[in-house]
Amino acid sequence: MSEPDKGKKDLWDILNALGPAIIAAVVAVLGITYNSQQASIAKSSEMRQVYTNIMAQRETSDNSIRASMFQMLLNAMFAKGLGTQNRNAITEVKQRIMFLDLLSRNFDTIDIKPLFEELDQDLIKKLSGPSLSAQQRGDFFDMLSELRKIGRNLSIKQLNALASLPGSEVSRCVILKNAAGDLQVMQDESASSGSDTSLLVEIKPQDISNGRVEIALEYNKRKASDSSFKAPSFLISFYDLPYIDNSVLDKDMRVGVVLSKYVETGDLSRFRNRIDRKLLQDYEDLKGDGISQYAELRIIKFPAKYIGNRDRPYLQDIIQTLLEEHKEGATVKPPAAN
Amino acid sequence: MKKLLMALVILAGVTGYSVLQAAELFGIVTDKNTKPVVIQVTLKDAKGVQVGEPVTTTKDGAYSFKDIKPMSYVVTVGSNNQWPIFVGPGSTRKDLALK
Repeated sequence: MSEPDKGKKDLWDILNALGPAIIAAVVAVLGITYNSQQASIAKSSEMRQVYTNIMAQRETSDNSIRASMFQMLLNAMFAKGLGTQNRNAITEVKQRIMFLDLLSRNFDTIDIKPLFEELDQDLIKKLSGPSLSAQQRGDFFDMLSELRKIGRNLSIKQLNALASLPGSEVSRCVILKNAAGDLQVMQDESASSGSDTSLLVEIKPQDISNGRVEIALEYNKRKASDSSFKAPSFLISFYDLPYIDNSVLDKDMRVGVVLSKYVETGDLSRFRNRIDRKLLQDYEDLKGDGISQYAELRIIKFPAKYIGNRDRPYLQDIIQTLLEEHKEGATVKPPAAN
Repeated sequence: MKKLLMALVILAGVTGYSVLQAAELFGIVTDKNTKPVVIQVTLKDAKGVQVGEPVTTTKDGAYSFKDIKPMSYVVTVGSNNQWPIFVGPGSTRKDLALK
């Protein structure tokens, strides 16, 4: 047996000799990596901060502009007495319509229905007034149509936005009134294949006149304690916005009704040259069938979570539900083994 | 010659005018999985009389019946899917989901 070569070093000896150097190198690499990561995190945090600041500044300046604009528009409508001076002037009514258009385009979540309703009723009164020329009457009819178009466009925009969200459902309802005053209602079934039949909403028309439909919404409340609850009747006009004007269908669901079309065939004799040419024959056909008024409603059912916090009684209810769910989650025990 | 041209212009105007006047029904047909389907759609009046020619939906499931009178109809899709509808003045959209 030969004696081991004392001069030859094995791997262990090499590692033993290089150990401190390797440890130093690993520490150095870890240090560099750590520093690099910290720098990256700090940069990312800084970028987020900058982005947040920019967005906050933008929001603040936007809110400031909107607040000034809102004040200016309301001042123009009320403080300067718009609507009280020279009420027959066409230009003044046009201005009021323009203000309302501006308001509705920029503040679609505030309830400006009373302003629209007031002008609508004012124009209806003007149309039936005795002291107007045919030209003036026609101009006021055009303005009433324009006002209703603004209201309808806004409500349909909100309807479409809600309808595109999961859990929402839209159905259509047509109400006809004949010359004798009899009402007929035809409600289409929902286009949604997954319609919730436990939340059926039925429209009960009471009357149609002057661009307003009086209805009662009847439905079964799924979770409410009072199963015989029935909603009171209310008036629907082109200015009912589903974001704002909606009813509690259930604890989790809301229902909104939008007037999407309204036709009075009597307008044919008074304003034939002012009615959209494309619709003249349709008016004639409806009139030929003995229909004096035609109204088309869209009924949207949507989850209550899409509604803002204006409904404080229900907000309290939501908080209570969340607390209960949290409590249940905390006390859940595994099922007992059989 | 001038009179003939004038008459033709008036005739074309009246024809064009009448085309512009009528109501329209349109929409999209989807299957149970909300996928658009290519299928035949027929329009019948309340008495069951077919109105115009049946149409076939496009690959996007779109159908339309133009120049119709505003009144009650029954829309039939395929052989046994039916929906009653009142077509109002102007355009009326009715999306149909097959059951």
